[in-house]
Amino acid sequence: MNISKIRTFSIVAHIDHGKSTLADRMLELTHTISKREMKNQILDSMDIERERGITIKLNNARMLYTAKDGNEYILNLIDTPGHVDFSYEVSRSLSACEGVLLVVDASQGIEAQTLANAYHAIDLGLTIIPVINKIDLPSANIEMVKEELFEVFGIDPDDCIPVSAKDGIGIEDLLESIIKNIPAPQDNKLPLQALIFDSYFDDYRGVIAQVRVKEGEIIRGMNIRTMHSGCNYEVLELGVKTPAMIPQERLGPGEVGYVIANIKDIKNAHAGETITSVENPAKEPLAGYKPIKPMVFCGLYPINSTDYENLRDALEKMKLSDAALTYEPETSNALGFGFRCGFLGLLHMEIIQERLEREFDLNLIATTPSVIIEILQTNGEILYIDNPAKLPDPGRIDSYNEPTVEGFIITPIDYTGGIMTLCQNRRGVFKSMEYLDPKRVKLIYELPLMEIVTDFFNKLKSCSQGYASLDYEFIGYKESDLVKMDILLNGEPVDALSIMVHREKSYERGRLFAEKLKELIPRHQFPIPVQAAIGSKIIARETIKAMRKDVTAKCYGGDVTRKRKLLEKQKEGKKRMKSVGSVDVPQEAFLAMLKIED
Amino acid sequence: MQSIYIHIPFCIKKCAYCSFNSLTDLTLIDKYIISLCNEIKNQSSSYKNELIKTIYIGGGTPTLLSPLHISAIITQLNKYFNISKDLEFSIEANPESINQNNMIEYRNLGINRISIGIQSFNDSELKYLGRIHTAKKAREALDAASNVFENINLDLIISIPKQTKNDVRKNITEALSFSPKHISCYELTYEQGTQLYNDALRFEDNGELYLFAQEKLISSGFNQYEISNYSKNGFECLHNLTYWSDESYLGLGLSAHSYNKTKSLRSANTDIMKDYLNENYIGFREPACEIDKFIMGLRKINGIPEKSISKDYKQTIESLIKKDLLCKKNDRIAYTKKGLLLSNQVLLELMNK
Repeated sequence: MNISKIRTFSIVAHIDHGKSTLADRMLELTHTISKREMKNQILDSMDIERERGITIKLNNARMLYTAKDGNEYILNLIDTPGHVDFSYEVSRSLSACEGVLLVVDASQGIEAQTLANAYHAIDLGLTIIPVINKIDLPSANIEMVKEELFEVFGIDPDDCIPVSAKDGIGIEDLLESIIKNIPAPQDNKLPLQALIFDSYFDDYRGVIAQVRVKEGEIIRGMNIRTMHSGCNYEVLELGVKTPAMIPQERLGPGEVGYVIANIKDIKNAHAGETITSVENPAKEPLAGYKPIKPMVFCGLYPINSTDYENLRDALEKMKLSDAALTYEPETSNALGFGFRCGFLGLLHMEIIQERLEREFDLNLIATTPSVIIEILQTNGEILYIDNPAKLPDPGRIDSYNEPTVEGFIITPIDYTGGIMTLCQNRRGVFKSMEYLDPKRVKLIYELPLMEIVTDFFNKLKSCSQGYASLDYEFIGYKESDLVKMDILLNGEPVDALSIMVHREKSYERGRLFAEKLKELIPRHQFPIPVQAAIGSKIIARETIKAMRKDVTAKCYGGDVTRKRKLLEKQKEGKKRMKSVGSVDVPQEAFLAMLKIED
Repeated sequence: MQSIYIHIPFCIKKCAYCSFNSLTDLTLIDKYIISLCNEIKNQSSSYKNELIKTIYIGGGTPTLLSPLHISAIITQLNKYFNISKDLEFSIEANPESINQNNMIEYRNLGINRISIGIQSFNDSELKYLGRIHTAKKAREALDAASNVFENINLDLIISIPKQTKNDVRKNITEALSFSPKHISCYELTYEQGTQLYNDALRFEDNGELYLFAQEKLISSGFNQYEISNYSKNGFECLHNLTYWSDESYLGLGLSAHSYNKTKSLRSANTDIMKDYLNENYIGFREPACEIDKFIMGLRKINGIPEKSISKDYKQTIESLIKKDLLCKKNDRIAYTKKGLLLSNQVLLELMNK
């Protein structure tokens, strides 16, 4: 293998800017996949990915391309997930590359994730190839985007490659530019260092690690070690992906492929790990490794308590292929037995929940998302809690610190006012605002992560008609005057509805929360008081009025079957609710906090 | 088995709220009558020793049929069934399809009770419901019917969007002015598959109009003997009482339902007209459910005999009595005032026993 003929790159793009379609066109043009085999957006393999138009699990594809200079090149395309929850994964896959295609929609311009990921790439010293996509659209404004790229990144407008992935325009120019501009990998003749940029679990073959060989080579049958987790394995199979798996004997420096080595636990081979050889180990692992830490937590409970074991099995299975998911058993007075689960972010949480329900046929209740709160106790000890229910006795709490992020938002200027109000309501501290171009600004706010995970993203979208984009980065714990707010239904506290909230916001949130619950919980035969309380003090109160009428004052003649079926339907509806004391609470009420209007 | 129901599934136009099986292709009527007469003959062999005490021709709009058609049906029934001399024989009618002449012919054929779908005496309400008659036509029909029949029922619908107590009062007062022996007062329900199902205006109250109508009718000398049915003493609809009293009945015609108490079997004819015309009558059969007794029986204000209830329900019934939803009177279990308004909730608890 001639190392000078290898080019390895990722695509950095905002959701909807056409990353997957562009990848498809390249696979097609290089005959990696024939048109006949082409299923649209081949790299997004999960149903959820295709439905939501996002990439969750990374993939990679090796393409062979004969360039205009007559030489055949190996092009390795490494996919990246397109969501802020997965920014660590993005940084790992970028580390596996020499260059990136920075794809920007010709009518939308740069968005927050593009910006964040492009900066990652620049920090890693990668070559940037600016690609302006969707030039076929009538609303395309190539000049504007070129200007923006120049303003933001100092990119020479002449270097931009206009393409239409949909219509296949400009793809060949792009491939030529990749060959011309992205440097070939280097072989420093050092001991083996291979970066795992993603891994997933296969029921039959264990962990399949996707790797980029940085130094040395991996050979079938050799003994390898994962340097951070310190485990040894024998390589059973390795190869390249096209994206089908094609076994090979070895992967040399600069090559990208997969490794199967009877790895049972994905924790030992997750993104960022370095593989080296047992006999001739590298001095140190590759830089940039971070242990995965979940940021967002929620309780997951089966609606039907007999499903508890099934939920445990499902989580165990899911965990095999998702190193970022954590779970531990927890008990709630209201919901019974369930699990407190940890996720990278809200999207990750939603996806896991959806997959649990879909792939394992479970009916789940999720509680309000929470973050890890740092509690300074009066005895000087520090305690971290991921669930308001685990709060120590108030007398032992000295102060709270909560995780804080720096969020940057890109928005058309028209929505700036609304977004600033939103950030204000969410306890944001304004840092800066600058123009990207005459029509769009970049806002920087310091925000409590707790505020971000309680539906900030959707609110941002709705106050900007979907145009604003958000990215954020954890910057540390900050002191905060938090209180625990409890909800009482029919006089009984419902632990699963307790949340942490800032003292100054507590009255307002309490009122809105109670109002929302009143709306979501159906009427019962008796009136139900809904109260929000801090300690023993009631701060808000609503009453769900008693249902006074549910009668069918109509005649079905001799057709009792129809009436029975209607009743059965009504009964099914009740089954989807959780009985908390004497109150039937629907699934969505446990997420009522996310549905209140700021 | 003492009751026969005959379904006539034809209407000039389907009403906006109607979820019953009816068609507007009137050219099928002749064929339908032939198929129906054949069904009457087929079914009769199983009921040789039964004395029929009630017959009910419902729809649809049975009065769309010419008296000749009705006559054919009745002749066939008389030929194959053993029919009591004290027969209660009802026919359903809509105001636009009756007049003195055809009613006299019905009466001469032995029909002694007419049930008229008045629904409202307010033109804008009638329009919302998708009725094709006007208030004026309703009055004329009632006047004509009064000259022919002693035993008249009229249907009213309440809880129409925007309807006030005063609107209901006017409808009831006007209904009473025709001195009917029986009034069925239904609430508008929004059922899947009907034109109104997606209507955003849906009326929802806490039962104020229902209670208002109830009070008004009772104070005018009517007995409430079922959730939606009121009558003068001695004029309860015997036919409908068989449904609610867990007695057997035989349904004939498209999508008609039957209940065989001895075999504990419920069945229904096909609801596909083409099949029915080809004399493929059978729709489905299913074993009767225990809950049916409650669904139907509790509709009666005097409820169901306690001794007919299986022990499995005892505990639930006790708890429902404690909640003031059911009560015990004269060895019968019945809804309380509160329970009547929450009857679906009561049934759900009984289903979950």
